[in-house]
Amino acid sequence: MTENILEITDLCAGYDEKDILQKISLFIKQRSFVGIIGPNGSGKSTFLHVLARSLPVRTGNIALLGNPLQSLSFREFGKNVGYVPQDSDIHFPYLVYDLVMMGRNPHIDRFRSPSAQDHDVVKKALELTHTDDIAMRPITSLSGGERQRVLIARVLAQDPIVLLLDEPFAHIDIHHQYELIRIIRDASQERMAVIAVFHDINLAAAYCDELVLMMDGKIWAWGKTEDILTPELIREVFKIIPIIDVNPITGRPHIYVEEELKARDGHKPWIHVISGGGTGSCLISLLARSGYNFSCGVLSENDSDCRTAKRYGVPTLTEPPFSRISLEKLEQLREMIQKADYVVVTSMPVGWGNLPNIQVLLEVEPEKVIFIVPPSRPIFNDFTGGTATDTVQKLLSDGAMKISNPPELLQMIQSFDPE
Amino acid sequence: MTPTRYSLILTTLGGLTLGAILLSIITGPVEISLIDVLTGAIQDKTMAQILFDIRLPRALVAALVGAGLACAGAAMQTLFRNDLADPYTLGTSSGGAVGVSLAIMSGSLLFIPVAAFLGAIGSAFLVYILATQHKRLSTGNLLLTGIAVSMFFSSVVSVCLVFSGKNMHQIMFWLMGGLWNASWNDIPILLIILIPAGILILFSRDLNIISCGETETRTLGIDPERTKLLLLGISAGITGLVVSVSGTIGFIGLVSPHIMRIICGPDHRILIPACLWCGALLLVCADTISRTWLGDLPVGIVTAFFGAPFFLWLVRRRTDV
Repeated sequence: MTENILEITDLCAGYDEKDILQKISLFIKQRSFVGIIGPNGSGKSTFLHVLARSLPVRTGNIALLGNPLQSLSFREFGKNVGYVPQDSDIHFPYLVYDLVMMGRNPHIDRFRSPSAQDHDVVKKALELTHTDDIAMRPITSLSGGERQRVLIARVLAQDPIVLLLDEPFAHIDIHHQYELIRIIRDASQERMAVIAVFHDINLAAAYCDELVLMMDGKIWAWGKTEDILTPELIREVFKIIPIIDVNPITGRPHIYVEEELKARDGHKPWIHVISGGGTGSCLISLLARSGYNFSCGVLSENDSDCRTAKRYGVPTLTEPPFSRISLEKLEQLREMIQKADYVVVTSMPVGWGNLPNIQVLLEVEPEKVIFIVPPSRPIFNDFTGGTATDTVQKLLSDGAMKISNPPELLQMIQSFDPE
Repeated sequence: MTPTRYSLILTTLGGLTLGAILLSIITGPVEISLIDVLTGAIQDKTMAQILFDIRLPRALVAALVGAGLACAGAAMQTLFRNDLADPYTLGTSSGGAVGVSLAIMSGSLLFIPVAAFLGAIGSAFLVYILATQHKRLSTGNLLLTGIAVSMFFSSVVSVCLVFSGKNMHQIMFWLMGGLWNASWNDIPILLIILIPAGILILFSRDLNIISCGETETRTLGIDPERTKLLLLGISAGITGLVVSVSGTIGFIGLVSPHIMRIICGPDHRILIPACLWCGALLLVCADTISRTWLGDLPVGIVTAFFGAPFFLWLVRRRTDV
């Protein structure tokens, strides 16, 4: 038996004269979880409609376990392929139980009633999706999320070998969302191949083995999740600037969307940022997006501020984790803050290791030092027995400034240096 | 749907219908004692004739006609996914009427049922094809198309009337939708509708799934195009047979499924059998009322008189939800 459960070759299909899908070729392995992502209008849903046979194949071929899809009777097709739509428009008050039983329809002979086994399968599907407590309620009385869970229960009761999902998690509460997708993933690992259209790239990234990236009715890229979620591909298809990070909990790729960066402007004042412990990330990305020339440091290499600065290519002074600031780096820092028009310090934790970052400030004109301290917070999380705080008090009394957030900084700088 | 509830509803409806038929045969210009009927103690020959040759066949015809219209209406509402669909609104009855008019004009009275059958089926598919755009059936178009086709066929019937000469009053008489000349001869033709009605019941799971949406029907093991065409043909066929006997009678096919959905829910496994009883019950009652108190007005007028306001109430009730 072939390892591919579904083989799609050169598929073209569409609604009017025009082909929406153009020469799509794709192979789906047994027990795989394949996500389809792409911008609106890229043909994701159309593709799923063709697989669900509600839109005919124009040219090309779809084979289910080696048999052309069109050659299968719908009963045979229904035993093998399940489909969950984006949302349902069921306006008749069917009981949830009866609706889930409809999933058994391809398995039940026309002249028979559902067997005890069919009832067992339905009950199990209701339990799995936590819809057993609403089993005797009419579907029309349920919320959108509950309805969607019922439709997923129905497709689980259907027990197909290929499961097609068209953004079925869009209207579901977040905890049910992850729960349901895990149920479906478990089912896929046991017996079925899942092909799911995702609107949320990060949800797709967290659970799919493979991703299919679609654009303009074509498959733009197809492969292992990690190979598809590259900044180049995402930027090409979604027209956004992605930041691809790792979700600390799942260990899977996670995408953040970056705003359009302004070009660096040499006429703007130069800023040096002294931060640590993640307190400067927000400021660093704001300055980068606003086109400022600036530098950072000295930062520990594993500090998230350091990662943020590197991401934007900001010149940054670094030291290995948990080490003191060396004399060499301190000398470079001196140069940087002398050259800078402003030195901005965030409300960070200060210990003996990074105390030189603060002490060196006594060597520049106090007027160009600005502290960003959120209201009703101490200036520092001071682990130096008050030394750092004393330094800051002195600077403040000599004319250094204190503001409460990064946007305020930009306003202030712009008012000093009108362009 | 539990089996107990299922049989309770059907037994009650069946009992009510049989009761209505009993009441119907003892009421009328000539009063007959219920006790006499039940004990078989009717001596008078005229009495027996009224009972068995006039009232009983008429009540049975009313019951079968009502049953046929109601189950065809239930199926059509589901197939077209439209609450307002029924043999009358979609022009299926008018199609049957054209068939009957042509048959009467050509003098081939024996072919009336066949002509009505063909006319009804032809009209149903004409509406289906005309209301389909880009291979999709638009429900908004459906009713308008139904009304247009219905009007067109009415005008065809009028033309038939004008050119029918001596047959004119026969066509008129039949068109008004009365059960005056119901006789035992009509019963065999009407009993045929129990076969297509049985097929509808066999397809009730398919109807359930079709009523829940278009895309999933295929993955739930149903060929929607073929199933729809088959069941539409069956519903239209039932309508044709009914129309050949009774003329066009409105509102039974529209109202019965609505009442039954309120009582037993949307599940066609019970809805179709329940509609058979409900349609029978309603038409027997309407005909008895017409015959007894309204000077034997065509029963179609009585059903419209009660059905239209009731239907308006249903529409308003639905929009309140």
